[in-house]
Amino acid sequence: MNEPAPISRRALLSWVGLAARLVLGGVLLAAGLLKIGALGQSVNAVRGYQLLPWELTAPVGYALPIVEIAVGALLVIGLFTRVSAIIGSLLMVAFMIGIGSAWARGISIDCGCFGGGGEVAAELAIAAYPWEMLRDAGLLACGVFLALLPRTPLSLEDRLFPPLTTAETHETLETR
Amino acid sequence: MSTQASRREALRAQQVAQAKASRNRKMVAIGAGVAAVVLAVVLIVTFVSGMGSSSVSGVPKNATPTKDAVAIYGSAAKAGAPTIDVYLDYQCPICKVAEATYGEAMYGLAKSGDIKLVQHTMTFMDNNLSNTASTRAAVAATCSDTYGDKYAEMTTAIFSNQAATEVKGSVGYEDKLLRETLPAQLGIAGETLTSYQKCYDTQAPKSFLDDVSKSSYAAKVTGTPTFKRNDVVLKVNPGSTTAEQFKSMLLTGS
Repeated sequence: MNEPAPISRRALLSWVGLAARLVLGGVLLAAGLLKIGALGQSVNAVRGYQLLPWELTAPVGYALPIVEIAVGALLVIGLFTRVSAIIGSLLMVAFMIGIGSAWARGISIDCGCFGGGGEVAAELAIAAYPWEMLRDAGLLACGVFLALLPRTPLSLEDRLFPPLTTAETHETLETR
Repeated sequence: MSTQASRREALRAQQVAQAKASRNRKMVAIGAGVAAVVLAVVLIVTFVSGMGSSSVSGVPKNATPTKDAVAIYGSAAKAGAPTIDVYLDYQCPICKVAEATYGEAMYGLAKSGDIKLVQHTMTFMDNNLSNTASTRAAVAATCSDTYGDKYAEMTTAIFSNQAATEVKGSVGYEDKLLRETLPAQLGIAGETLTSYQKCYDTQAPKSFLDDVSKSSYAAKVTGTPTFKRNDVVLKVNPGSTTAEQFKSMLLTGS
């Protein structure tokens, strides 16, 4: 009788989801906040990759930190988790394409992931690329997990838009 | 009995649908609010930062035919002389070293017509240092080309006034230096000086400088100083390559 209730697989996964939310959200938030004070540098970092047409580099450089902060904050507080996780995952895919292509082309740049960016010594850049790819792959995994299972504990959306259970519909019925 | 049960069920279904609809409305409203705020911030920041491009044509007198660089002593170039493209930024510390070490040799060869010297003055350091000194200095140099034919001399003069250390958010080159002191040093005076100062005050060459940056990006130049000989990047290290070695690189490629 006093046995603890077995933790259901679903509950366990939801706590993994919370961890994924905080990791992906926290990293995006930090990355955005570190860049927001130096937006010009963010533009230069985008230009360092030599991927986008010139006209797009400035808008992307300015928008990226803002989007990172917004998506990171939404993930941390747990609001619109699925949409935010999808955007976060797309960002990670974009970053991996950027870093991977810089690596493949032999361009030596600081990724500018957390501010900074631009050209650096070749050995430094080449040594950092695998780790940056690995980090982004891990973050992408967090994003994909959350896109599939967005319901996590301690999320604002649970309070704002609680799931419609039968109990609740009864309640609604009674209050009317 | 059965009609009552089905009526109750219908009522319940209606209530559930209503609850769902109101939940969806709330979700859409909050979602739209968040999206609108993010979009508004992005637009404001992009517009504010992208402002200030002048519409006045400030293409300098000695601009290259493509109007995205300046030819230095271009009329002196002998037939068959190699084209040397120099990419620099007036706030880049290594560019200052390069100018101090190679400037004389480089301008000498351009004057004698042994090289065709083309300078691409970039302004990306403004982004790194959160100031406008690279652009203002580049504007001054461009104005000095049109009014006074002093692009090379102005470049040397600007670099010799570069701050000893890079300080983020510092003013960098002062307006007074660029507008009065340096042109006076180079002997720009009288009506030419008036025109030069008008050019500087209106920042007329800004759109030309945007084209310089744009074409440098297209040429895949992301760092300064970059030296190219007939479109091939020269492996120059201003810290170790001597002026003699540099001169030979310009003339022969190695």
